[in-house]
Amino acid sequence: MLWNFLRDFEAGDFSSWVREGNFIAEPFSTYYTLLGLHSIGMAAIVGITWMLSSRIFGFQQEIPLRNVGKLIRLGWWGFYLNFASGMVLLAAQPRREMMTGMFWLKILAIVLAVWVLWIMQKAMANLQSIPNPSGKGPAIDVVPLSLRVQAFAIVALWLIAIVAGRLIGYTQPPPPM
Amino acid sequence: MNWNDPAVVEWFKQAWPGPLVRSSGWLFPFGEAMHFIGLCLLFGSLIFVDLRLMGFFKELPVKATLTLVPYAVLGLLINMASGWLFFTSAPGSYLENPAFILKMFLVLLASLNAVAFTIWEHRKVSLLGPGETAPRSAQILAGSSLFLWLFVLLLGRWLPIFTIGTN
Repeated sequence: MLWNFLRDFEAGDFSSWVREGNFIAEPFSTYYTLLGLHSIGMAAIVGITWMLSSRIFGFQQEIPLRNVGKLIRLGWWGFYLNFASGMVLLAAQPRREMMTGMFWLKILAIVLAVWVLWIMQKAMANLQSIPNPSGKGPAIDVVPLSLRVQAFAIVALWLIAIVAGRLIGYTQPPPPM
Repeated sequence: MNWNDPAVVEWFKQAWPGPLVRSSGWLFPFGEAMHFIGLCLLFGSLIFVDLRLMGFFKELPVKATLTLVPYAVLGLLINMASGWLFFTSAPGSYLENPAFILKMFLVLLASLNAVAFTIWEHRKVSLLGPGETAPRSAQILAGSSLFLWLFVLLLGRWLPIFTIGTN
């Protein structure tokens, strides 16, 4: 039943517009314009979480983890853009995507990465700090092991999502009838 | 030099790793994955550095954000290497693509922008603490950097729109 609905949906105007139409004006096809927005969103959410993870691993210690809340919010906006454009891109050929294992691996990795980021955000907001031993300079964040594990997980999950996302086009079956 | 000269195209086509990429089924997708990883490193770093210099996230010391610059350099190097892999796989189709030519020009411009920032602004802005505003010249260079790299990213995704033929 869902399959029949999706087949009718793919034959409809909206799906055709995403696959073959123009976004506002020629030559900017809807599909590639959305891919551009999808990439900007990905660069923001993945880039910001990877930089924060680097800090959590112990590099760039001058960055105060207690003060990165606004940057994480910007990362979330990147994710919303990535998610919204991804949903519209999915409308181009939903049945073909759903028949591709790499698509499901990508979705699983993204769901887990978002869940881990949500946990990390709460952990960073409640981070303890100790006075700088030198007596001057900013307080030092105490990074618990659990946060380091989460940072490692989020780096790995986004890597899996990126690689799986790239492989979708190479492992897709032919378009279903 | 005429970049579309068949002899030039053939030279690029035979340059390493072009023949290897064309005969392999996995090198091109591997390069694509690396290109996206590099892109995320580059942008992740620039979001911290450029937006702070432009006046956002003032709770962060500028010097602290500048410690992320090596990730931008690493990202750029990864993208140059993976980009060369793509280019040598089908140089003719890239050289006749106006979006690719514009992208390369903007990469050059963005790199010169980064060099200008390093020469003229880096030392000055390193002294800025939390809450302090960067000089207008540094703000302009940071804004230009973000704009140029965003445009480079979009042009990369739009290459298929402007592809004329295949080589």
